[in-house]
Amino acid sequence: MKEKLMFQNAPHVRQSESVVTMMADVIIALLPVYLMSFFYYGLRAVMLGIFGAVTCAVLSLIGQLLLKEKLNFDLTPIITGLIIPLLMPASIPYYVVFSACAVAILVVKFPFGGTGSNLFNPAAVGFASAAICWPKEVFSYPATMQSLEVFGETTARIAQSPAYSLSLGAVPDYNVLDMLLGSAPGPMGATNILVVAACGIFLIVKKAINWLTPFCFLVPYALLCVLFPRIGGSPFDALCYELFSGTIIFGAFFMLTEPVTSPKRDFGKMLAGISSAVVVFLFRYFGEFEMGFASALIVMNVFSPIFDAICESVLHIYRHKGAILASFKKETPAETKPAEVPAEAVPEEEEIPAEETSSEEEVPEEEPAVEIDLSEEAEPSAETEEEEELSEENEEPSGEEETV
Amino acid sequence: MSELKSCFKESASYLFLRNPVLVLGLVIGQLAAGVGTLQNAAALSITYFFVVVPTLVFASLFGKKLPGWLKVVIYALISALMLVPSYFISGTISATIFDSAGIYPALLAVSTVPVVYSSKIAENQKPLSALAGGICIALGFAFTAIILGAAREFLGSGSIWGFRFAKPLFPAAKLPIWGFIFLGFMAALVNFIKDILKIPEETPAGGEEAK
Amino acid sequence: MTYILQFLSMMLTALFIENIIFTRALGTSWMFYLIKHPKEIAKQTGLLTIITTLSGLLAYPLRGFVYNSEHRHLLLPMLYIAAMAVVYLAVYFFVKFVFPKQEEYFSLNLGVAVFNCAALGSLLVVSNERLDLISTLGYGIGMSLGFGFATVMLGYGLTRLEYCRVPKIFRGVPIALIYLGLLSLAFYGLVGHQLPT
Repeated sequence: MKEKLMFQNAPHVRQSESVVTMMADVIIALLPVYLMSFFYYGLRAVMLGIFGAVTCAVLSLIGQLLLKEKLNFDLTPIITGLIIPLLMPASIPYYVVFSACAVAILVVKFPFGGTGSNLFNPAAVGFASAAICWPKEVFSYPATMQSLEVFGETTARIAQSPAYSLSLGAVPDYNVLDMLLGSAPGPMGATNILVVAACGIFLIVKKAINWLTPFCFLVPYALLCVLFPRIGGSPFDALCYELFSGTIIFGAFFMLTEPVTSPKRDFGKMLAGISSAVVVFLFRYFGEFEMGFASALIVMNVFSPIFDAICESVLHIYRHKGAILASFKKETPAETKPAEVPAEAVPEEEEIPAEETSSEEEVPEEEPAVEIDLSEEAEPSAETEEEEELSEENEEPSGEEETV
Repeated sequence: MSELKSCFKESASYLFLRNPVLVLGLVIGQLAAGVGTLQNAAALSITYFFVVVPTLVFASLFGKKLPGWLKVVIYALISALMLVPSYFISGTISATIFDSAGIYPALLAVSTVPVVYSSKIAENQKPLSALAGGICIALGFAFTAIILGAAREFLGSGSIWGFRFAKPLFPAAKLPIWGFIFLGFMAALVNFIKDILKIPEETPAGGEEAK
Repeated sequence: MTYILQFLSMMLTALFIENIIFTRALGTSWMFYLIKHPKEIAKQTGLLTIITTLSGLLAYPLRGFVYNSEHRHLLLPMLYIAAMAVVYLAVYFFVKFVFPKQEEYFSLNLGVAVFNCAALGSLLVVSNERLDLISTLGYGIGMSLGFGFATVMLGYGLTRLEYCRVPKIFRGVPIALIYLGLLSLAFYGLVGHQLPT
């Protein structure tokens, strides 16, 4: 009965999640954020998201055509296009979003090889380039609960964001509850902390992201904010203001966990989270822009393979600890143990010159070896007789065995 | 005359196929950070011409007669002296040219070509070849600088040579960040054209040729 | 103590915030060469540190003569290149007579370590900003260390790029420049929207 062998490329471990389902989960998680933005700023917030997504998708197709690649309609440019407007105010002009999306797709993704090959987070780079180009537009936040014009320039009432207040060392004008519910001005996707956190937990439950990176980022960051507060008052207030202002929570769940640029190993993710917390803290405290999360993330993207390499080295040492320890032990008195056997004969050898004994010793050694050989050959000869009976039709038995 | 023509034919590759900036990866910093306008590009091109050509010709004529440890010093000092005529000629472009160009024209005096190329390559060439090579390298640099300067000025200020035509489309175009990225795309365009014309790759990138 | 803090703050500023490569784009050709020869990075960075320190010490008293001149944009670079030539000769002969075994290495590498855009650029930046001696020395040392830091970062990134599916037209110089530009973008988050002088 012939058995069919199936050949398939790796991976051979199958699970219900795939890249498509992961991307779809992220898009689903972003929808409530856009819903809240619509509630606070009107239809313009949603239109910015749609514009960003369509722009990124079209530019991605154009990039594939220019590089003569097979057209691949994946969801990653749509996610990039949805995230970029959420990092910006609702009053942002459409050309700024277009510019950020163009940088994200045409500069960050395609020159490096397209989807899965980018070395930097596209949304972070797109946002950072727009922030440097148009800082006035990117960091002017409209007050909440006003419906902005859907297209064209807006006549919104501008308010000071809590992140800007913190950068000046002043206590923000909004209380912690306002910031939790999104009533404080800021990036349109990052202000409603409750909704963003809930969406992040949804992604963790759906296994679209790993819980380690956001956890290992938020906890050390919170600790640093408590130890080095920028404002007076209770440490709890300082902690809440630092965590809930800017894009810290949003970035922890939606940007830091980007699968292409983040480390692959769990221990690497932990290291990346902790390091990101320190770098983001430094950029926010000492940087020129009121929120340095995007810039810090770009720097951390450079180091993410290093974290994986550290993790591999640690795992290698852990898995082979027995062999490593044994190699250390072999170098010490373990080498003298085999010498103990001839050591019994050493006293006899010491009486006679070593050079002479070496030749003399070989002679008596050979005699018992020959005897041993004879006895050993006698035993298998019995076996060979049986084999010969079984294999009479095969090759002739060797002459050496017969003589023995 | 025919010998000069043949020398120029040999060195003509420096204009495009072996462009000193886009293919060999030289003088990138000055272009990325110093060429934000067309006027700056012109000033740097003039300075580079005066710094490179006499140094290479000098190296070709006298380089082998100098002791090894003294060569680099002499070449650097000649380049520094050549800043004088370039300074006065560049000054005719604009009264504020040196304020806008900053430190970058002066840095061309210690760039790779006058300091390293002189001893590695020009010394082993005939004076006419060194002259032709120097002129072609300077022209290749100027070609890149002018295109880059015009593009960055138009995108960053909406103007060309100080004459405003439109609103700035991309204000950060003058920053070194976008200088690097624009140069990267220009270098990719050169590779694209070479790919279409099926020209084989000749030289490594990154200034290794000089070392 | 004040001087130590001033020195350290200027050194850290030059190392990270105003990194000579990421924010001022100086020394990129030499950096690309060192990336292809990674064993030389530490030695060349050390050499650059020594040279910038000595050049800064020598040039500091001389620049006062030229500051108020109408042609300072011309005279300052010439003065600094002359000072660098003196430093080159001093270091070369010091090594030749005190460490003769190192003469061959220095004769090959000292020229590039002395006469390069990073060294001259740091002297010009320091003079444009009118820094005092302590800050000048701190900036020079920080600049050299920052050059080494940027070289290692970029070298590591370019090594990673070898495993990416970089399109053919972007391989080599183009992708290295784009990568360098994106790294510079990150450091601009610290510097802000400023044009280099």
